[in-house]
Amino acid sequence: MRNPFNAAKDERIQAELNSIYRIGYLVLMFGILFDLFLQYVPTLGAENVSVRPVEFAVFLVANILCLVLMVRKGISDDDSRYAEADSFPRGYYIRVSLLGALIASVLFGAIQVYRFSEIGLTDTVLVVLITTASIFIFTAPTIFGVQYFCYRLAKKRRDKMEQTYNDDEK
Amino acid sequence: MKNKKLKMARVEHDLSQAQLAKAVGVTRQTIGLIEAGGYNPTLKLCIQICKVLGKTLDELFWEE
Repeated sequence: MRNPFNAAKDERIQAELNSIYRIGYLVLMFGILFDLFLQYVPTLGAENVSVRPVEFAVFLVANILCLVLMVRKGISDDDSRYAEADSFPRGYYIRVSLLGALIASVLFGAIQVYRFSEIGLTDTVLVVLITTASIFIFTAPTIFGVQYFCYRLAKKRRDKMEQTYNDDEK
Repeated sequence: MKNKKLKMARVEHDLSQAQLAKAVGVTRQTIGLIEAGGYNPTLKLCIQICKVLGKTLDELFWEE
């Protein structure tokens, strides 16, 4: 009896499905991230700041898993220009880090303004600016550092794979 | 760009799109799209098609 789960795969359909699942993945990820954000904001200032742990864990695991699988294949970025770059694309990752840090710090600043206004605190502009700047200063090098670390791992893996191919040819 | 050479080779062998598709392990629509120029097959699929139709890559896929 033919195994219904082991049918021959049409390469075009696989390519189409990959694009479709990618869209689904992005919708799910941003949806979950937004939901976590909505859970987090009302609990700020309370004794226990919490989000649903299973949801948070699934979000983290899914993204870390994607990153690990990419690095194992020697791919360091989902942009084709930089996925298998021979040298670290510093300019590109500086821009990405600054943009990521900007988004994080603006979001954090907005949350602070919202919470301060809720509890009736005024004259908090300086406090908000300082904490927003701190988030930016901390986040940008962290993003850059993580990307550099992933790049190094992926490059190492790629070099090892290439060595294996070259050894097979001898 | 349409692949008329592929279509002619398929017809020469008296194969329908569905039959060729089955022989190479893809769907009929994929063969149709290749002939209509709507999909660029991988080299692997090109070679499979060439083997079934008894032609070379140049004869079926080289652009004049």
